[in-house]
Amino acid sequence: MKRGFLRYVTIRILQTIPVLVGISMVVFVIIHFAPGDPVVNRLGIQATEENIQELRRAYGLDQPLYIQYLEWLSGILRGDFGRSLTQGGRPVADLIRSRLPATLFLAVSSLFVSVVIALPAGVLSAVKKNTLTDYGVSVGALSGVSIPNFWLGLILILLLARILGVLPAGNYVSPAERPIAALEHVVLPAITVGTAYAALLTRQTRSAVLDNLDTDNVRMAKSKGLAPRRILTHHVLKQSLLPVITVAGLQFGYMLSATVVVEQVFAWPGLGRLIWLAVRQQDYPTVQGTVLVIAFIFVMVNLAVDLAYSYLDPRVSAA
Amino acid sequence: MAARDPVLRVEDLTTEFMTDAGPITAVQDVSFDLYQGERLGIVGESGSGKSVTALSIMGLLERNGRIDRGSIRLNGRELTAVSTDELNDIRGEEIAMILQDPMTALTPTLSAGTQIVETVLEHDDVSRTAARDRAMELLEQVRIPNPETVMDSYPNELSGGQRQRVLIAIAISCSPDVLIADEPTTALDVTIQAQILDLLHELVEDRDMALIHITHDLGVVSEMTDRVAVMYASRFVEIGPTRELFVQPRHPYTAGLLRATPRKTDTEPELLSGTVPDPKNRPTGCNYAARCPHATEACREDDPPLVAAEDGRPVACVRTDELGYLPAAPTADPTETATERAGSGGDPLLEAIGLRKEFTAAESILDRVLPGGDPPIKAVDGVDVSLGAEETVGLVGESGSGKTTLGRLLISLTDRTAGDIVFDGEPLDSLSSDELRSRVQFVFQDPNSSLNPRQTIRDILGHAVRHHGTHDGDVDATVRSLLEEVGLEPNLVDSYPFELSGGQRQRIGIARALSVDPDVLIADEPTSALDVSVQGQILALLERIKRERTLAMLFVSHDLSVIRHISDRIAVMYLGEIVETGRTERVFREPKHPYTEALLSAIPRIDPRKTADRIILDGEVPDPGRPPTGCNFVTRCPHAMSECGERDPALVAVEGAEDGQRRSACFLHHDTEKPASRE
Amino acid sequence: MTTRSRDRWRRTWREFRSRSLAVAGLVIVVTVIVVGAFATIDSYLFDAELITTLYYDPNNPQFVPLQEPSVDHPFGTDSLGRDVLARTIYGAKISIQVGVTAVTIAATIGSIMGILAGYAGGYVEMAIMRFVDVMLGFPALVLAIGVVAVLGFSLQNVIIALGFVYVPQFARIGRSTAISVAEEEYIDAARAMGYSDTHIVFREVLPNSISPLLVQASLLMAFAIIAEASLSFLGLGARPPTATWGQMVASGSDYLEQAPWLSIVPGLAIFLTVLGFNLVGDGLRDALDPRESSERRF
Repeated sequence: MKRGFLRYVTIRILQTIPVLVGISMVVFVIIHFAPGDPVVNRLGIQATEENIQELRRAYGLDQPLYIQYLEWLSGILRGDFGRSLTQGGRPVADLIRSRLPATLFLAVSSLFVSVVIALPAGVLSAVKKNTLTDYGVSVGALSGVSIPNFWLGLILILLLARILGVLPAGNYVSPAERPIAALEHVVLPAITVGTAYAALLTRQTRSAVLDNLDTDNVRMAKSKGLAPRRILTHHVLKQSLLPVITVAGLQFGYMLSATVVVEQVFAWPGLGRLIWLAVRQQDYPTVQGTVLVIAFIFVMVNLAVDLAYSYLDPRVSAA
Repeated sequence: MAARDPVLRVEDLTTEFMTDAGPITAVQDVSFDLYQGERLGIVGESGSGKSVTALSIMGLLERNGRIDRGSIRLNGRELTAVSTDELNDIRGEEIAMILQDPMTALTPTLSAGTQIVETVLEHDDVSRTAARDRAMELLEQVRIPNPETVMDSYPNELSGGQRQRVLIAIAISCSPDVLIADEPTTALDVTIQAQILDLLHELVEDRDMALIHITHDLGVVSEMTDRVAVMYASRFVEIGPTRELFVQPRHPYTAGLLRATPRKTDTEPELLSGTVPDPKNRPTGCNYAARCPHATEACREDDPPLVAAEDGRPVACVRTDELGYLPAAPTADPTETATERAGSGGDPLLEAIGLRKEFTAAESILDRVLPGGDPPIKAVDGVDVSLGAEETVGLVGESGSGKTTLGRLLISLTDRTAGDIVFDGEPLDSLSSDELRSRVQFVFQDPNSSLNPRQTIRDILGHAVRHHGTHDGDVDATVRSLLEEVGLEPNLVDSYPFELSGGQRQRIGIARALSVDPDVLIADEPTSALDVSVQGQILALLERIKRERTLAMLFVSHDLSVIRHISDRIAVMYLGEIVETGRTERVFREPKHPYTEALLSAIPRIDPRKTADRIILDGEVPDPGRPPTGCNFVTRCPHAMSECGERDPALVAVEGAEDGQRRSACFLHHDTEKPASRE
Repeated sequence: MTTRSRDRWRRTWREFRSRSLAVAGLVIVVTVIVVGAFATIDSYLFDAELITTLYYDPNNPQFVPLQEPSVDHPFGTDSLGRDVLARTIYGAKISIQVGVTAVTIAATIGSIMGILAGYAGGYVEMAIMRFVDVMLGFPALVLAIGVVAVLGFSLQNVIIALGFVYVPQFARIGRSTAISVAEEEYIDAARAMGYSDTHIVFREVLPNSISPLLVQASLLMAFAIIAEASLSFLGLGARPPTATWGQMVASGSDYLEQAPWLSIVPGLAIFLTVLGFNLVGDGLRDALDPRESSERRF
């Protein structure tokens, strides 16, 4: 274990706590100022003033805001996200739990697709700077970030599912139950979600590799007569990929956002579809819970990326 | 030696770079032979083409550069014609290179050991264990303390000196025939430079390698080479044995450079006027004609080729036989320049007592609260310093000594942790910001960064003049007169900084400081980013302004030779403390602290006839966050005694020295105050 | 502005102009802006009279539904019998409005916050950056959906939501730029001259921080347009019958096999517009970066 690494880990983990608290506050405050009185909504307009007051007390809504927040937060920490205003009043936590696997499966598949495309493309493009290959990759990457994913999804469905009929148009199949079918069904959604992310990563990789190709340490490596392949793999790539990892973490949020949209296109029963339905039906507790969980996943991914980075890069935290 | 074939023969090497404005020639018709065991120096100012010469030989030119013509033969093989694979076999095996900046030349994500081992494995058919053993041997040969630890250390865990040793170990790992060292010690402090030069010298001697040593430093060339080539505006202008060339130069540029370089001696350096011509816009005829005191009409007609003079030495000057040998040292009468300066001994204008500055390494509150963090760095650790009216004090020290911080504390650019500063009899804190800044001014180190790139000279100086009301109604006229005062054409007012040369920018920096009509000038390494000839011009300018405006000046520098000629008094700093102070000539003549002594002896001498009796300090400056107990210098001091590790010697007057101004923080020189008598 | 300062922009322009892709992007962006401006003027001042006179009314169903592209209707008609080209022209209005307004809001607030944090340091920086950290903890579109959910589905709320969620992007870049500018010696020099903090922030730091923020604005414009389209696609944006590209793609998806042009045309419009802003942003970044310029080889 590296010197000072444990200390760095502790600091980074402790630093995450205020961020998570801040996120919970933002979510709480936003929903708190939602129009309409949840109690009135619940009881309908015929409710008497007395009924309303009673329910308010029962829900703790007569308490000062910070008390309400703390109670809500302590509920969250115990896994109690409240109850849905629709969906037969099911606990929000249950809803999230049932939808999470589909979203995670899609996200991981998309990540895989992106990385497999982006890293080789980015490195190739940088090494062959200003050649036809480079222009091709660059234009491809630019198109990739510019293409609206929901549209790309529709085009893919039209071409590959409807016209050619080679792949199913989404429709989640649990990978735990039918792994092969699950993979088949995830291909189109994963490409749809992964394209923009792959494009972003390709551009990052290209510029990071370019930065590291023109350095004193590469000149030094050349002057010792190292083979070009070794210079690339040992002296350029590792240095270049480290910053790419960080950016990949930061832009993972972009992929989570994409999931929310693309799930509509492919009727994918994940968190995105959950939040979409909840928003349309003004089911605020469900919106609240889902946004919170997505943000939590994002923060954790970034934390993990950051720790991996600092472990791999000798320059961080050893000083 | 001459009977053998040369290891390396370079003929008519010409290298071009493609730029927006078309191709420019960076190296033109360079030819030389290099024999086994020979040490060749290539010396020149920045932009002269010396580094490009090295990169051309190594085949390391960037993509916009190419060898236009010429031949490079290494052991009889033409390097300009070999394939990339062959070149990779040759590089590292037959010819190796040490790059300038040890901080960037090692790959940060690979351990030092790996970077040596991979070189060995690439060229020799040995096992990984054998390669590792070789790497360990090499680290021992480059005299790295704790080679086992260094093997597994990453570059960021090593100091600058250690990294340079690792680079040397890599370069010599496959016993190349030719070693090219491109400014190998420029990024290092002078005491570390001495160690590295000593090591290089020994390695080259032991292994009978041929060395090309590229540098701008005449002292380094003089001590480190057998033969030297002087490069100016892409060409060799003179080449010959160092001992002859540095004593009896023939080319006017060589002579001018030698005379313009400040030395430790009493004689003042001479001024080398003008600047190097822009490579895109070179004059017809001799490139040096515009600056040459001996130039005639003939010089402006044709570019003189490098041909043998009457004594056989190749010189690129049409008048060389006519001029003969030129003087290598300044001709001024030493008694005239070496007189003691008349700095006032009266009340100090600016005085600091017990000044302290600690920088915290912690980035956040958590970092500060959690155990195991880095201790605060004591950049300035209890310093007393004073500056009299019209006096110039030179503050000298290596990097990390705290000299720059001290300068910044004195003008409140950095907040001090503790201590008092008194200006003109009043505490600094009682002065308003504008009042302080209108009386004490600062000249910055890097002229590339000290001027706002989005403001014209008129904006920069005009605003200063208006802010402090130092004009008589006509701001423009005041700005113009400031420009004239610092030796610039007034029509530069509408220029942006990027349109000016480094020297011109530094003059603007000085003009800005003068715009408030100050009493005190603090100059932080104002010439360290500049070439020798420009440095001389800026020093002369500061000297003149100081005299005309009767300014007091604190001159901060790492370069003792520069400080020698501008200061009345000097203070030597080491690890946040002043270790010695006194009148400049006295300190130079008879240092009273082992560190000053080592520092003085570490300066390479330009005159090759003077043999250096060098004190080479061991080790490097300790981490300022964890200074040693007792005297800060104890870890490196050749005279360390047991008590030095116990108590920190105070800075007290040295017995028998001049009027109590000579003070030293060393028990060796604490004659008046026996260690036992201290509380 | 002095003539020389104009020279500087002229140099940047020359660098920019030498990149054919960047110029292509600029052409796209200018075209979309002109079309969007036309639609905006038409809809607010003339109540769609102009386009109706020149071509067809984008909002009123008046033709046979689901007609294939023809000379009369180059992009066909939609399920309600409206001309798709007319609606696509009107869609430009929404995209540009949302992109420009949201990014302007975010850039103004974010840049000032960031530069303030970077220059002031200490508690100011800590407070601002903690806020930014929290905001960056949300995937941007997810947060925007949350905000829209509460404020209600409308064009104005989409602008507010996107303006809000992109603030931290600018704050981050503003801060890092300000920090690197603050390390330059000319900032120390300004302090040594005794200039006020206001002078230093506005005269010394800000002018030298503009370029990266400008590049970021141009790139985020692309993101904002996609985000608006996504929200519209999800039915969380401007209300029908307002023509928005995202909503056009969504309603066309019901007739994907039958009338694919309904989705393809507005989707292409989004793609080209976003591509245009990305190309301009890239070109601007390269033109402003001296390292990238003049890569010339033998």
